[in-house]
Amino acid sequence: MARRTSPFLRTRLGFWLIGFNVLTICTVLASLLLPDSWRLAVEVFLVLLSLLLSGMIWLGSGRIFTVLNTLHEQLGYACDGELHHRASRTRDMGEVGLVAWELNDFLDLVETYFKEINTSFRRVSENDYSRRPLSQGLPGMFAESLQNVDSAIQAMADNDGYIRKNRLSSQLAALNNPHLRHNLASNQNDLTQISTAMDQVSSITRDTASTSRDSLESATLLTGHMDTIAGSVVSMNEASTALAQEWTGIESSLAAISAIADQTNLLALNAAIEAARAGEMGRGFAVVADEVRKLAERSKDTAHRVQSVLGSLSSRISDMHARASEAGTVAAEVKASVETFHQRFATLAEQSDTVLGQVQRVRDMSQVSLQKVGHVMYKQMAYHAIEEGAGLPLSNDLTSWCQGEGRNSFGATRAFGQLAPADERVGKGVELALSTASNKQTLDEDAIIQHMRVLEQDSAQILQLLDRMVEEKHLH
Amino acid sequence: MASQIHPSQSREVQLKEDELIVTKTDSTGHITYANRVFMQLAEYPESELLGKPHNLIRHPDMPRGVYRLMWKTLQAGREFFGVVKNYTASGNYYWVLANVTPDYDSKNKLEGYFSVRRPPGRRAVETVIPIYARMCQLESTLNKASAPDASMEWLLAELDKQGHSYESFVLSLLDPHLSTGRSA
Ligand SMILES: Cc1cc2nc3c(=O)[nH]c(=O)nc-3n(C[C@H](O)[C@H](O)[C@H](O)COP(=O)(O)O)c2cc1C
Repeated sequence: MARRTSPFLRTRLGFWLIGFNVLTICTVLASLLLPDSWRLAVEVFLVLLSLLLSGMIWLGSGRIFTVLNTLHEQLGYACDGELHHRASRTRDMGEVGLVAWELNDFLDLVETYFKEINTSFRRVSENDYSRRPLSQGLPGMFAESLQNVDSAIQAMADNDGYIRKNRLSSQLAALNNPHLRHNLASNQNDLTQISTAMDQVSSITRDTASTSRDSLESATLLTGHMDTIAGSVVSMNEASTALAQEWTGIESSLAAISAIADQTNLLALNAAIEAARAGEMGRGFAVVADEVRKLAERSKDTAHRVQSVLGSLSSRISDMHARASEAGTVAAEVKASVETFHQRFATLAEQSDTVLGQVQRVRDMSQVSLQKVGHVMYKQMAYHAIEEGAGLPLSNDLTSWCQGEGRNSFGATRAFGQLAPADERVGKGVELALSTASNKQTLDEDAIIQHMRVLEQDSAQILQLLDRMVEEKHLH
Repeated sequence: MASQIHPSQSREVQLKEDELIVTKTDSTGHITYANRVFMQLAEYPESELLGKPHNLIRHPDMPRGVYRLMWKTLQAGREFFGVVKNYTASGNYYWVLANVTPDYDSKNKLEGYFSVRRPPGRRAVETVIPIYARMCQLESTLNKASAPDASMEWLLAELDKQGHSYESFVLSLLDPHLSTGRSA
């Protein structure tokens, strides 16, 4: 943009002025100096010359006026907001040409400036902050202004980012909080159930302990009865030994009686023979009779002895009888005790089964409850990561649990079959939401919220399935 | 024109940091205005420019695919950025970062196109040279009708692989001083 001063217009004006002045001087000199006969001809010639000069000036300035007109029009358009008109073909027009070029340059700058502003702002209005106004090559105020606009757009972009982030945070919180409360309530419920189950277990344990104590008492009693039985049996033995001795006494007594009977028989036979021989010899009969009387005394004596033996024998037998019946009662009691004992142990075994079942249920419930807490934590971490816009991959413990411990404990339940697909959906949902959130260019909150809404549904299903698994497994 | 050009003696001339080249064309790409910076650098008098098609200064190292993309973008009513190599009248060449936009009159009718060019910076030139070479090579293996579209598609696909749109690619080539703050 060299500001050369073209002498063109000024020089021409100079020539024209000189020309006119020369003509005027010539006219004056002619009227003063020339004789009348010449004057007319010369003056007519001079007038013709001046007409010619005027014509030349008229024609010569015409093109300049065209250019000036163009400039005038151009400025008019510019005032009307049309910046794209330019003046061309301004060669050999000196200062006017220069002005035309300066105006062109100026309009180039203004147009460039406005194009930059327009493009940038049109893009900003489409939520795209990437097209910044380029200030390079523009002078002074133009560049300064574009730089300011650029900072303004940066501020708008930052602000937009904050607004979106805030909006996302509050939307996420609105979505998360009720679910979180619900999740926590469910966990609380689990813990209450676990503690109730534990109460039951402890009361059963208490029952078991008291049953055991009773059993112990029964056992002690039983031992006592057994002692009594043993004692009875010993005395019964003694009684039978005594009985055996008595029987020897009886035998010898009976032998004596039979000897007496034999002698009596012999005597009776002798008496009968003597009586037949000497019927009058009564004296001899008297001796026999005396012998018989003596025999009778001895028989009487022996009989007395047998009687007393039998008496003592029968008392001993009744004694034995009494002892035997005593032993029978004890035996019946023992039988009853043993039965009670048996029953007690049966109850104990039954209770142990119940306890075992409860303990397993409690174990399963706490396992599942742990998974629930883990799942809720995972979800919270996802919410956090989305708010931070961080794309770091989260580890989902539930997935590995499903493949290992969970399959071992709950593999047989129907609910377990549905758990893995739901968990997979949740994982995908988190991935989608995270990748949407980590798109730095534009934060698509609606899409994120939509992903999270679907995720919350799947998550609610997971929590239900976890509960159902325990229910199904411990139905019986 | 081509007969006057001697590529062996061709040397690079440069646009100054504080200069802008501005040209305008009608809706068919015929020059209606060129500023003085352009006339000086390209070494053409105004009379040899007005009414001539803009491919007057086209350099053979420039792939057709780039101009195809330019016209497509302009016809969609959007601005086009491009790192462009041009001939001067005497057969030298210069690199510019061209920005072309459609011009509309007050009745919103297409009036022509407006192009403003800035010095592109070395990094931009160095980045595009191998890409343009690949495109030219690709175009040379295809017939004239399908070459521009094919090389344009190749360019867009290649940039897509790098996670760039065409515009984000060109803007990423700008030296930071071209604009003040850059967005992420
Ligand atoms: C405003 C405007 C500016 C242009 N500037 C150039 C340029 O500087 N160099 C160029 O080779 N083509 C330029 N073109 C594109 C040409 O019009 C033409 O499409 C291109 O040179 C390809 O020519 P071809 O179709 O003969 O291959 C411009 C077009 C427009 C509308």
